[in-house]
Amino acid sequence: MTLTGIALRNAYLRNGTRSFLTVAGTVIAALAFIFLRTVLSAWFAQSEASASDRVVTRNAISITSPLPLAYAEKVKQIPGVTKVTYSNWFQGVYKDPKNFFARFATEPESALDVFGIRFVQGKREDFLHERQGCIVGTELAKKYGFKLGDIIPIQGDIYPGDWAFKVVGIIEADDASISNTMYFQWAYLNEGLPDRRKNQIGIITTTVQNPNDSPKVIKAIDDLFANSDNETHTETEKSFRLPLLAGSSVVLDALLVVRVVILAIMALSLGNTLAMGLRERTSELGAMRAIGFLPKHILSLTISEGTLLGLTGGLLGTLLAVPFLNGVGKIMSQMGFLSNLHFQPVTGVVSVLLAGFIGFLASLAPALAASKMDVVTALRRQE
Amino acid sequence: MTTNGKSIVEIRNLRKVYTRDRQEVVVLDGINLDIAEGAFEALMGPSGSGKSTLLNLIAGIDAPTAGTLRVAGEDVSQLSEGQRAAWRARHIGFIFQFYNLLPVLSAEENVEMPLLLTSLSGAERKKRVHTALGLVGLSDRMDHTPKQLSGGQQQRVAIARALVADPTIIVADEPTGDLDRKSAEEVLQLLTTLNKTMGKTIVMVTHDAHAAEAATVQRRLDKGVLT
Ligand SMILES: Nc1ncnc2c1ncn2[C@@H]1O[C@H](COP(=O)(O)OP(=O)(O)OP(=O)(O)O)[C@@H](O)[C@H]1O
Ligand SMILES: [Mg+2]
Repeated sequence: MTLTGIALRNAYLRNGTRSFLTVAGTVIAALAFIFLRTVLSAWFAQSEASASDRVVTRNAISITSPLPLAYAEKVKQIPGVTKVTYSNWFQGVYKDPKNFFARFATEPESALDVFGIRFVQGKREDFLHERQGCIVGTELAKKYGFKLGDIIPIQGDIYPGDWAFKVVGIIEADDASISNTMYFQWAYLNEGLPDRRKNQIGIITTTVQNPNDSPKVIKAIDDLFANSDNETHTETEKSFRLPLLAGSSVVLDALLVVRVVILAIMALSLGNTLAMGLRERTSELGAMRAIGFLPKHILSLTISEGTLLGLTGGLLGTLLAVPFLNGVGKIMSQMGFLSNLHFQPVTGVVSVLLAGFIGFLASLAPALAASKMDVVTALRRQE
Repeated sequence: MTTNGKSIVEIRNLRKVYTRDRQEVVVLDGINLDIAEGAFEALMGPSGSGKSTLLNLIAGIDAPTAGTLRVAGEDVSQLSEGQRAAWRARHIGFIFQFYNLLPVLSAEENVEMPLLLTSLSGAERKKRVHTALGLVGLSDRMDHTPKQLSGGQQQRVAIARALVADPTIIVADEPTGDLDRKSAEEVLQLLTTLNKTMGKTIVMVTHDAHAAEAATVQRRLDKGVLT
């Protein structure tokens, strides 16, 4: 028998139900923590992947309000701008709403150039000349089995009607999100629209000569269209993508706060369990002290117990996180965002250590109180 | 009685005063007491008369307000907190009314507790634990946890724990207070045996006149004064 042995049994055997509930709470907290951490890092990774020399212009009113086609040509005239392309978020449904992936109508030549698109299969010329042609990312091709020459039917929603596109290229780019994206000719979309909707574009993506000049170019673009019917809002592609994924960057901040809140709840729950357990065994601890055990023994006994509970919860949470994240990751990438979501061993290790550390911290106050208790007072407190 | 005339406890003008809500409560008022080595003394008196307080002072878990207290040759009131803990581990065996065993440990492990503070080897500790459990007649219950034992058996485990480190004095505060007649009888029998055959000095607080008869000396405490 050792003090550590006693701590182990105190942690797991003394009050099985309570230990189970506390560990279960810690498991859920650890799982939530790992999930958030993984999602957030995937999220940031996605925005990090965007090129630093690209800026995106949209209608200042909202992302869903279009801009006149003529704007693209005007942006090209601004000093410091090298390439300009434009695109429309097409959306639509491919067979089933759950087959969600990004679909853009775009100007082919400039888009291939601006996004640095490479053809894994098919030829660039075919995309430039085939009016109904489309190119799909490698991940999409893999997931839906798209091959060159396939016809992809899309039920339009933002742009109503039955649309069909012929696969003329399987593509990739340095930007990993491209592998889950489909592009087709903007002109094909435009000619299929009623007159009042013609010659409108969603966003303009601009490559700047020197990334350091981006702020200047951004200002120049927005100044150019200030006080017009369609004022613009321009930002770096990186900042454009974060809210695009989140709905709002406020959500991102909120998630970061939630992560801290989860850890705080974990600490409170562990601390409460320990405090309750210690209160119940006051006279027992008094007896130990009478026998000759020192405050430091009581301290280490209690702190070991808290740390053990934390570690157990963290470990079980991490073990559960692997299948959980893989499952969620699959769903997320099917829905077209966060294709790089998967369990990272580092996050697992961090979570286990963090849970243990929180158990340690949470046990400090109750442990100190228990160790400082006067022996006679403790012994008097019989049930 | 197997006393050799030497006092193992010497108490002179001992006072204990508690301050509660700025009011002083005199619990022990000028106690003088000698307990001979090898004695089995019972301390009786009404509730609140200060029996437990006196026992706690003798056992070195409480400090006097005034007076001197020599136990097992040591002026306990002069020791620091840590020194007192070490002194208790060496000299005092405790028996409590509600046993105070650790519910997560087996009888064997509970009895081993005081030995964790010694430098004895695992094998030596085991040997002593088995001897102590044999003495209290629980060799066949070593693996049982307190919940699997009756009150009387739990108190016997506690007695084994109190004597396993071979203390100079055993202090017992109402050791039969929570037991039925038969179990109480067994416990008293056991204490008598420890005193008679092993020469252990025992100081026992009890309200039960019948229990007090097991002791060789009975003393009464009333309102903080020995009568
Ligand atoms: N920490 C304390 N603070 C204030 N008063 C105390 C404290 N401890 C004990 N007392 C008081 O000292 C008196 C003696 O208490 P003690 O426990 O020694 O009595 P006792 O003779 O053992 O009684 P019982 O037979 O009920 O166990 C009581 O009046 C009690 O209320
Ligand atoms: Mg008492």
